[in-house]
Amino acid sequence: MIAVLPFAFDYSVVSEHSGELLRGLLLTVEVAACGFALAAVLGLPLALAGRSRTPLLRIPATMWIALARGVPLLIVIFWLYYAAAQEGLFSLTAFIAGMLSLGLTGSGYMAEIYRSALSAVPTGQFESAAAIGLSRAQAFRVVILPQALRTAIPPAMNTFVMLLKGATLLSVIGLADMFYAAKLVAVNEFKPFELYTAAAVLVIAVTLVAAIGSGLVERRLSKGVRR
Amino acid sequence: MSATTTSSLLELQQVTKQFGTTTVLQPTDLQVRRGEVVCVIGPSGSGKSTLLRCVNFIAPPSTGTIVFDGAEYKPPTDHRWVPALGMSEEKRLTRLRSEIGMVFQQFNVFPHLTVRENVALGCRKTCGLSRAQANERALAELTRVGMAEKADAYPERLSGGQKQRVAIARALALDPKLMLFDEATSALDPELVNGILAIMRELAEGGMTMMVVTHEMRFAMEVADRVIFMDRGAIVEEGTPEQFKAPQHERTQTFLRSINHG
Repeated sequence: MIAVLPFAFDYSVVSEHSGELLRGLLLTVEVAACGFALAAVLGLPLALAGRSRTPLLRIPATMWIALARGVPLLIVIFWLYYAAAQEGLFSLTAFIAGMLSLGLTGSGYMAEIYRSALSAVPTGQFESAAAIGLSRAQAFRVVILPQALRTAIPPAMNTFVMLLKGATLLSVIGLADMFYAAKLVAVNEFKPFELYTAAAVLVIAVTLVAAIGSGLVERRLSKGVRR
Repeated sequence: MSATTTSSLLELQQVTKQFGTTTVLQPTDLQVRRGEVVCVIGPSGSGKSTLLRCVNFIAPPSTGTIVFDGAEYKPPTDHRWVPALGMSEEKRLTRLRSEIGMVFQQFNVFPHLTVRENVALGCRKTCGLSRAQANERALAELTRVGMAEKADAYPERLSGGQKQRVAIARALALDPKLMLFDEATSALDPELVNGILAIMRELAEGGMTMMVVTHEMRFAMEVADRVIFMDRGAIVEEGTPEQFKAPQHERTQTFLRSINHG
């Protein structure tokens, strides 16, 4: 393998700095997980408001979703971290600014995921829930949502991976995440190839673990439904 | 007025249903007495299902009044801007629905709940029974439809006929005053139809008030107290099964001929 490469891959530089990289990785995963949690929590009411018959809810929700999905993550990060502080609006730590940027961007995607998952539940389920005297809220909570969540898991997983990759952008506002650590070592040791490869491998590893985890959750929620 | 409220459980007064500009139910008057079995027949698209769905406001009527068990229900006002204003009206309709059982052509059992949970859910949420009481109740209803041994199975493991039995038990668990059957056997394999019809027959004999949309003419002729023939969103002819052996209206004659030889 190594002989095929036109240059030597120096494993030692990676293993020497593995502590920094892993500490950075932990921070990357933390900020991505917090951002995803925020997105998952915001997404559901957004999706419901977007489906609402009253324009008072539907229009703001639709605008929010369009903005969240349309504005590049890097601009959101800069806006929340630098621009807002510069204008004296508020000043945030890099972690909070990062979490908010990921959460706000992700909320648009999660809202769309919930929306399509909710509309995938057959209307007969609403009707039979209503027919046994469940209120709309009860029907939603015990009949519709559990079925919708099951369909939402695989695409929600995609959003998490997207946010995890997006989290590497946070090094630009000085968050000492995994990519930040890799860049620092790469510059100090003149080994960019080794360090950036290591960074990529680490992100892929986390992605795999997350995929396995979501598979388990999906299996749990799919009780009674063979897929 | 007082005479009608005591003798009839359900009364439709000039009930209509529009979807956009299409009228699917012409102004319809109908009374159903307590303990009466009314079978609704007619070609597809004739408004039979719509009629049934208007009764429990799953598809709220566009105009008209429905009197059920002495209480009057009108089409709900559309609070488009502030939906919260419709809450008390919605609550009243929710209570109405819990007094009317409905069985659908496509069963509509809840796939993510076990058979027992399917049946217990309504009791737990609307009659305020505890989980244990609701489960007990569910088991009793499941025994009645011959599904007790499947109580812990998920619906995917069941045949169509078994799913429909669960759906019937789920409706009966709320001890409804009226049962609506919307083509309950139309999606079933032929050999499963009779089992479901037998349960419905038993219910009718037990004095349950029922409205049955069906294509099973033999069942309608044997079980119904009254048969209603609908076409193009209106009741064309109604009468006892005996009267339907020699229908008056030409449209009814054509329909009955076509299904007898079809």
